[in-house]
Amino acid sequence: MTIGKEAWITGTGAVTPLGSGLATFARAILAGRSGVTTRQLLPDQPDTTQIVAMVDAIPRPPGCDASRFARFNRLEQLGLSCAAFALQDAGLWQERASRRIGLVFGLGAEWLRQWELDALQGGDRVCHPNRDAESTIDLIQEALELTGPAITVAAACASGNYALAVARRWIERGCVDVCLAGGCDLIAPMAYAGFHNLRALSRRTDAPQAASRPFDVDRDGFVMGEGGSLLVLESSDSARRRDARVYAEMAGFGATSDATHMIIPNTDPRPAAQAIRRALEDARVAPEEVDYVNAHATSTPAGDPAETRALRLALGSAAAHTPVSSTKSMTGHLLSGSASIEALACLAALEHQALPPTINLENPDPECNLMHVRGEAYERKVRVAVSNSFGFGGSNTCLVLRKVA
Amino acid sequence: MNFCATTTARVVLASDVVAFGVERASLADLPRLRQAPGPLAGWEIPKRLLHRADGQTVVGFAAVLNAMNRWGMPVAHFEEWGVLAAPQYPGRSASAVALRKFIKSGVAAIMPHIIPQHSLHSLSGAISVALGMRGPNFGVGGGRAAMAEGLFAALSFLDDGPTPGLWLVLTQWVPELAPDTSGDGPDESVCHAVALALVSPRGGDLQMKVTVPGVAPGHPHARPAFPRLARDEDSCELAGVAALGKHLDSGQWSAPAARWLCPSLPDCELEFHFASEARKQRAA
Repeated sequence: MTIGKEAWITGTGAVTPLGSGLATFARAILAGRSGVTTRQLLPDQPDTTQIVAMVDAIPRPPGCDASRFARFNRLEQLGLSCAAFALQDAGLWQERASRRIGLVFGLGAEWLRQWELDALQGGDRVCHPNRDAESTIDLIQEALELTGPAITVAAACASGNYALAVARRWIERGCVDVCLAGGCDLIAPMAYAGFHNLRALSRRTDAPQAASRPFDVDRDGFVMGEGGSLLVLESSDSARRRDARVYAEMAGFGATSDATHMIIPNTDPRPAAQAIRRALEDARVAPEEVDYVNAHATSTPAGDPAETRALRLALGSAAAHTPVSSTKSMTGHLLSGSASIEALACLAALEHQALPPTINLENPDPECNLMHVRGEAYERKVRVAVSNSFGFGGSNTCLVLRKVA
Repeated sequence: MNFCATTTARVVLASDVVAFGVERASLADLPRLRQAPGPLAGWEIPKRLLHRADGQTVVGFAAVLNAMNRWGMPVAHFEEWGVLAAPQYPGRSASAVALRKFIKSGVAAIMPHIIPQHSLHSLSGAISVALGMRGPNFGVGGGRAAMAEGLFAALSFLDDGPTPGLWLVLTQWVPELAPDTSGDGPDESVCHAVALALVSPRGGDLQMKVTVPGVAPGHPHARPAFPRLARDEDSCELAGVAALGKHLDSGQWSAPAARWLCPSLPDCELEFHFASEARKQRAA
C-alpha cells in the first residue's frame, strides 16, 4: 500500500427500508427496529400479501427537479439518489464536475429488472435491443456530470463488496482520486416469484416482522428487501488535503469462490473462511482485533450454519468472544444492495461505538454458535468491523473497515 | 504490481496473456454446444450445469475450454484462479419467455433458475463451478459497454496477491439478440466469446495493456483530460468481442487490436503484443 493512497470513506448515500441517510439508518438499526412489512405485490394474486422490506420514498437528489426525477424508473432513482447524497455528504457536490469521480455500481440483475419494469407497464423492450442504449451507470454519470470511469459489477448478493474492492484498486492505482461505490436493488414481482419458487423466502405471513430471523432455530427463509447505498471512497491524501470528515478506512478485502454449486452454499467452510482470512491479512488485522462482524446471515436454513462454520474456522479461538449480528433481521435481504448497506451498518457501529443487534433471535440454533448481539444494541469500543457477503455462483467476500485515528 | 504511473500522469494497466480461446455459436448451434461444450481431458464437467444456462454462459464456457485445449493447460493449473466475465445483455432470451409467462400465468410459471442462471454474475459463477476455480468470481458490464468495462475491471483488479491469475471472459451476440416472446431470435445472430487467461506482467510473450489518463499528481482539482467519446452502437459492435476474436484468430497480434468506443469509460486503448514468433505460431 502506497502511503497517501489508502482508501478512506468520506461520504455515504443510502436509501433503505429503514429510511434514508446514514444517521436515520443508524438510529433505526441501533434501536432494533424492523423495516419489514407486507405488501400486495403479485398481479395474479390480488388477495394475498407478501412479506417484504420496501422503500417508501426515494429522496429526490439536489439539483434534480421533480419532473425530471419522475422520468427515471425506480431502479435508476435509487442509484441516482444514493450517488447524489453521497457526494453531498462528502462535501464534493459543488466540485463534482471538476474532479475525476469514478463509479462502481453493484447490480446483479440490472437488465432483468429493467425489462420487467417495462413489461409490467405493458412494454416489450426486452424484444427490442435498440431500446437498451443506456445503463444505469450512464444515467447517473450524465445526471451528476461525473467524468471518471464507470462500471457495473455483479456477484449477486456480494455485488456491493466487489464494487468497493474495485473502487479501492482504482484509488490505489491513481485511475481516480474519488470513487462512488456500492450497490442497489429493488423488489420486482417476477424476481420475487423466482425466489419464491426457489423456496428461498420466509413463509411466516402471520408475523411479518418476525420473519427475518437469522441464526434462530425457527428461521425458514429470507425476506426480500430493496434499497442500497453508495459510499464515497477517496485517497487519504485527497481527504487530508481538503480536511474531509472520514468515516473509516476500507482496510481489507478478501474473496474466494466455493466452486461447488450455483445456488446452494458449500457445506465445506474452507473457501468462505479463506475469504475472511484474506481480508484480515489484507488489512493486517489479527482475528483478536476484530470488534464486530456484520454477518451475511440471510435467515435461510442452509446459509446461516455454513457461515457460522466459516467464521469459527477463520477467527479460531477469537470467534468465542467476537460479537456477530445480522442486520438483515431488520432490513430484509437487499440482494445487490445488501453488501453496501451492511458496510453502512459497520460505519454506524464505528461512528456510534455500539453494535447493532440481530432481532428475532429468540432461540439460537445450536449449529449457529457464535457470540450473538441478540435483540438489543449495546455499546462497545469498535475500531475494526468486518462485513461478510456471499452470493449465488459461490461467491464469498469479506470487507474490513477500520476507524481512522 | 501491474501498473505504473508515468510522468505524463497516464496509468498503464497491463497483464500477460498466458492463454486465449475463441468460440462462436448461432442459436441453432447452442443445443449442441450446451450438450458438449468441448473436450477436457481428466476433468468431469457437472452434467446439468449448462442445462438451463444463458446462451452467453454456454459459449463463454466453451471459449475457456478452447483456450485450455489450445494451449495445453490442465484445469488443475487454474484451481486458485479468479474469473471475471463480461456478457452483454445476459438473460434477454430467458427474460422474454419468463415475462410472457409471468404476465399470462403468474407466479407458478416462473422457473426458479431465472436469477441464478441469467444474471450478470451467472457466467463467471458457472465457469468457477464447472472448473473448480476458487479465486474471486464476478460479472462486469452487462450493457453495451460490457467489453470495455470487463477489460478495464480485469486489468485494475489483477494483482500479485493470493490469486495467481484471472480469466477474463467476454461475450456478445452480434447482432444483439432480438427475441420474440418464445425466446427465439433471428437466425443471423451469432454469440461470440473470447476467453483470456491473465497474469501480472512478467515479460511474457503476449501482453495486453490499457492506457488511461491518471490523476495528475499535485493537481487534485484539475479536470483530468478524459476524452468523452460519443455513444456509437455500430462502433461498439464492430470493435467488440467478435472483432477481438477475429483478431486473435488471425495471428496479427503485433498491431494494436482495436480501440474501443465506450460510453461509460475513457478511451481504453487496448494493445496486444506478441514477442515470440514461435509461440505465436503455436497459438495459431
